[in-house]
Amino acid sequence: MRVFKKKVLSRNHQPWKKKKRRRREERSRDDDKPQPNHIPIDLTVEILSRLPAKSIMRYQCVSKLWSSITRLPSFINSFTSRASPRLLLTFKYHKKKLVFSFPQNQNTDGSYSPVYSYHMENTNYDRYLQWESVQGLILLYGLKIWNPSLRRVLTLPRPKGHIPTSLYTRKSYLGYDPLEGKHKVLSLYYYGSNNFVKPMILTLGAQESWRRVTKDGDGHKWTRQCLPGVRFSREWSNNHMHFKGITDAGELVFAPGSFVDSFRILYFDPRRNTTREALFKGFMDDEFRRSDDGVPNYEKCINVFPNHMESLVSL
Amino acid sequence: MENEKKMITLKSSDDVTFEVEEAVVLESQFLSHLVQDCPAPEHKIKEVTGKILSKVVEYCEKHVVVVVDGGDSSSSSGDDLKKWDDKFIKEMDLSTVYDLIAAANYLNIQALLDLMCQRVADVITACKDHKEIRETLGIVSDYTAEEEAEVLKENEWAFD
Repeated sequence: MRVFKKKVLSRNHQPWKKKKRRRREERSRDDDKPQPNHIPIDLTVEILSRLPAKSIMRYQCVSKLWSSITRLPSFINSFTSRASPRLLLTFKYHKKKLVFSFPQNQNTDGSYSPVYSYHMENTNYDRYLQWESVQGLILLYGLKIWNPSLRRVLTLPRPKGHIPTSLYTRKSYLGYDPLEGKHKVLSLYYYGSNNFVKPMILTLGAQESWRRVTKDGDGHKWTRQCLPGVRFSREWSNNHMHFKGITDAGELVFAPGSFVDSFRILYFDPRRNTTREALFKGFMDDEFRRSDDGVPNYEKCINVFPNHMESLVSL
Repeated sequence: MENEKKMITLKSSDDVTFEVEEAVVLESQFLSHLVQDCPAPEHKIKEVTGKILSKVVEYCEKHVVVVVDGGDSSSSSGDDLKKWDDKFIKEMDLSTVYDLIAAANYLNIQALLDLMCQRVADVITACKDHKEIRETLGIVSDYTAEEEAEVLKENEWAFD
């Protein structure tokens, strides 16, 4: 290995060497290295789908093959289904939005240290519309979609409607169609004194515009699925724990609305009647804490999205 | 009769033979179909060399033993198996890993394929940048300088 490194160094430091000779050197070097052709494309797909989302994006520049593989819809879908669900947590701090992706189950060392964390600037007006991560995407106020894994926010086009903005109210929902493997946004426009409803649907990434859903057209019936009502035990209510959702393993997730230095997340398994507790402490040790100099620790409101899947869906 | 272990001989492309128990062969979807459909005592696997087949057999033998003898203490044997897997891949060079990926894919041994693909993924993650990846995996970039700069800019956030 060391010999090989020296070779590279000498090559780089002798630009006067003739091109022909350099080529020959490269070829002989390649001969004793594994060739990329050894791995067929479908196995390259297998390997790449085991990288974290950030590495996948980072290494799209390795070759055009890698870039095109990682942009394939089939790759994007299989990546999300392979990933283990996370607990996504966000809170505002000094006009920044801090984002943490925690493992939903303990790390092998028994800790819950974050898989990644980062901050976003200029997010003052980003409010959540739906307290749910839908196959990796989160719906924000103002018809915006956020992919936390790729740190991208997309503002959706507004439907070209016939109803003046002042005359309607809109309710929007983000959903995922597993058959098509695509996210869809449903906006229900209520207007008029009788509250007529006009349902509009937009499929993400389908290069299409909003389409109106008619009763006889697609045969959709609108029902709203609600999270089940959960009765707290007194102890949990006293701790101001709020129900946040259900994990893929069927555990109910409870989280506090705010925290100062540390907080706990409770996972309750109703079938086994067991509870596990994840303590999050000292996770703001790095850059976030450094910017904390001189500022007293104050209570921060947290937003918790259980069952968040890392997603490569580009926006 | 049932207590007697049925042995099967596998022959590599370069005619190296391995005598293994049938249970070991059943770890491979491909071989278990082959053994069922064609109950010969010896099977030639033209696509896999003796060097690689010995690794495959070593892996399958280890994994069969643990499943059969594990019994109730499945969690501790699971830990042991993981340790064994780690050791198995630790000293392996990349070209052997590549060959094992191809063999595991051909013989349809999902756990071995997973292990080997994860190994390459770990090698990729350990690289400091795309240039090191190209060098390590022997990939020749087909980007022009402009195209590369564009892709780098697009994913700038992923380099912090």
